[in-house]
Amino acid sequence: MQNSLLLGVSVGDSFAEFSLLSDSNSLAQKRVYLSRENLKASLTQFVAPYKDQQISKAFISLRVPKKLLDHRLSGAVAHVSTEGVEHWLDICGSPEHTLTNKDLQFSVRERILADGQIELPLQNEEIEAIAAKVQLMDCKKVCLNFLHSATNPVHLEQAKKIFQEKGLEVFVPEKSDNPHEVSRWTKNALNATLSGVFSELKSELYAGLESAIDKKNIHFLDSAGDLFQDENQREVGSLFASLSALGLADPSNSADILYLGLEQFALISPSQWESAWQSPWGPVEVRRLKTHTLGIQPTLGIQLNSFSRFDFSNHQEAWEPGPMFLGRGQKMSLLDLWSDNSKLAKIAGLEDRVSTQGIQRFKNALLTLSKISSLRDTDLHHLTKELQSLSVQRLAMESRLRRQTKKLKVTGPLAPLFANIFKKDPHTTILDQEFCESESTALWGAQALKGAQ
Amino acid sequence: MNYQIELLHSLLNDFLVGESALMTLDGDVLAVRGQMPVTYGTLTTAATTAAKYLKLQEGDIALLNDPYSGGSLLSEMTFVMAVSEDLLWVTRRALDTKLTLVKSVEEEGLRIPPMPLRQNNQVNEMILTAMQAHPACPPKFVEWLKDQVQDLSLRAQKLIEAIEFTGFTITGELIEDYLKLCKQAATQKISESASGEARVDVVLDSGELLRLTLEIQDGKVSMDFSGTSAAKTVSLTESATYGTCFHAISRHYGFTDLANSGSFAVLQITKPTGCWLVGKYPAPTYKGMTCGVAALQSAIELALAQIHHKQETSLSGHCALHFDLRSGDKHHLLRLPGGEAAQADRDGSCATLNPFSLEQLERDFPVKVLRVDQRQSNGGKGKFNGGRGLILKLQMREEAEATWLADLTLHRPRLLKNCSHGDPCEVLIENGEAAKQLPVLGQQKFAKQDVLTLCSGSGGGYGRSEQ
Repeated sequence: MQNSLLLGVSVGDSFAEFSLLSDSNSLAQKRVYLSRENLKASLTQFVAPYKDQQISKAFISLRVPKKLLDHRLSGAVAHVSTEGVEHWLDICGSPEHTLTNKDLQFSVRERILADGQIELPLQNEEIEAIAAKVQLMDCKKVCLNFLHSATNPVHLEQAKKIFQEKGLEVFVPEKSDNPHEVSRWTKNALNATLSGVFSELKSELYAGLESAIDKKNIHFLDSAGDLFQDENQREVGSLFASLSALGLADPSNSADILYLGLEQFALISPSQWESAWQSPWGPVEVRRLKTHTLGIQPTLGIQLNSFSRFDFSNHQEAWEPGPMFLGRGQKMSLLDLWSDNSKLAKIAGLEDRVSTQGIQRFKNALLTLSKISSLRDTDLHHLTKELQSLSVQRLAMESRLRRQTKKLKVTGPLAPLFANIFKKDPHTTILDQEFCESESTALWGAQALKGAQ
Repeated sequence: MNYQIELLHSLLNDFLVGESALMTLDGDVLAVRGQMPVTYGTLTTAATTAAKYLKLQEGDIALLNDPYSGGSLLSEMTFVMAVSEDLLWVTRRALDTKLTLVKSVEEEGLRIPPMPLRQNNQVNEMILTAMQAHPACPPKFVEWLKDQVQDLSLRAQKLIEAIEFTGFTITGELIEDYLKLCKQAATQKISESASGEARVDVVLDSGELLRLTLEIQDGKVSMDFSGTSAAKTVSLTESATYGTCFHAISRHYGFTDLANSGSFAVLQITKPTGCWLVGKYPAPTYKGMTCGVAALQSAIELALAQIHHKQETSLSGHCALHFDLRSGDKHHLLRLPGGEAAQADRDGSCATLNPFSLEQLERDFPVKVLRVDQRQSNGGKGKFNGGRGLILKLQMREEAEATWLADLTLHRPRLLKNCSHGDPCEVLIENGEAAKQLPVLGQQKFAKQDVLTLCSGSGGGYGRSEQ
């Protein structure tokens, strides 16, 4: 009898990767560059050859691009709060990041005290008036944040019912033990902001898998390592799902994971959990494995520092248009330093995309900048090697400083380029797992499902 | 590798988290990092003092919080650790802060001069026992200290491992080159802007005068505080004064990330002995470390604005409003920061808070939050508006007590002609009658139904409004 297959899908900002596993062995794998390839079509194409074999379960970690957490890019959400605290979340975040448009912030006269006692009852008319205004402003989503609603949710339920009757999609803070309303409310607000894009991506994934697997066998993974299907309000909780899967899929839990992905370099500590994400909008309630985003990132810009010497900037260039070696980018980034390395061109998702002209433009740009640098190193080969060495040493140093356990596992598609320095460390294992995000999603998903049953 | 300096710089950035510094036993400061202005002067003084009196060996840790030995507030513990034979790591970690308005530093809490906390891999139990026996010792202090010792040792070990693993060698020559480059970069950043001289007077409500003559020439900054009066009730330690001055200058010119012996060399400070910027034991320091620092920041900001006409700014609300609410054995210190000044080309940023839970505040104290928002300012208007301060309105549900401290520069300093002042900090009380303004600092009991309005200052405006 043929073994059933497991599908793991990991969707990120710019790349999506798919892994088909048979008894935890990889059968087929693929990575797509989302700027150039369609998610649904790529997925359909990937699973098509295996239609006749049974794909029993699919597990997906879906990370909505972080830039879409900005409400100006994701669509309008009305915020309705207790009178007097309607701007509370704005005050708790950074001044540059707002959760919604000022015109869409409403307050209602209602008050529940700390012991749950109703001091000022909520009037239906007030909610109806707000609903009318929200609809006039062509806004379809409402986010409710009332003081002490976790202690006594009566007003929250009352308002929710009225808004829903008016055909609006309503978001309320999740029930949890967290006593801090700021992180609960911010999570609620960001979930509302992301819900539209998240649903669209989910639909695209369902459509892509339609011919291969029944919808009921498709599970999404969140940052806490839990599975969900149609439940709402898991959007923010999914932002770190693939990283959590990387940590959780290792049953021994004994080593930190240094993940060297195309989109990010991160150090994951499977033995430690965090309950909040310190976002630009303030703290957000998200249970996830302790993860440290490293200072060296694959698309970090290259620039001259205060000493007029080459260094890496703190700003990451996006994969759209991407590094210069792909032909469209205009700014030098860290990965461009490896553009002559044949291993880079072989990485799935990048193969056939390397542009000779792009590489030449990078070299010209580096040479131009070197002429005004204080070291004036015009030997391109030497300069490139030096900067490669700087980035690798910085990476090694920071991961040593931040790791929580003595043992370390290095994995990810860029490991072949960056991991050599770790070979001399007897406590470090370098894993040959280019598609570890999707593989881990599938493996941990299967374990989590078994646990839930 | 040619890029050893960049590697050292990034190592310092990665390692120095929070308020911390790394220096050599010879006294060269490699880097200082932190958010608090006083950090840039106090940490190095703490390390120097501890190293001088305690002769720290590799792995030893000294503890202090004495402001006159390089500490800041008494609630902030400074640890000095010899991470190797020649490197000292200083880091500051905060305990629960209480606001007390007293006449001596000894009344502000437990004052700890440099003490050997860990020697020869052993925690000094005798000292811990002695501290625990002190009536002002914070609860669970010894347990907390033991946790910190463990954490510090682990981090120091990781630092050594990271350096060894990458084969990186921090030689004397490398340090010398790094400090030299930092000095050059700081000098260049200052030289790129205008040079000149400015004089500013800031008068504190408590009666102290702050007189600053700032001169910028050839990429160097000279601050002369001659004419500054003696302390009456506000006093700042010498190292805190230096830190605040360096922080204000380096932030203005954009070289705070290069804070070390190299960049320190661009700043020269002259202070008359006996002025309130050279506080002497046993003067209390809470007011100095908060309102005194804010007054100093304001004076430097004003002087810089006078010299750099092209980058004129108004005055920010530097002083946060401190309000310590007490009920039974519980207390909660609320800090409401002020708004940022408008500049010649943009509005100032509005104040934001370090998030705390309103619901928890209502659960823990007999108060009801009526409003929390950015305040509607009357001041700070102009072509570009100053950033708004914050407003927190509380109603007492039972009797409770509070101590508060606001901006002590209500006697506003003179501004440039294009600039206007923002609204000052305010504490108002309504108890059935009309609202009454409370003094800038005080302590009192509030009755049931009293409504308190706490407002932090807003930033000053720039230019004439087009209306």
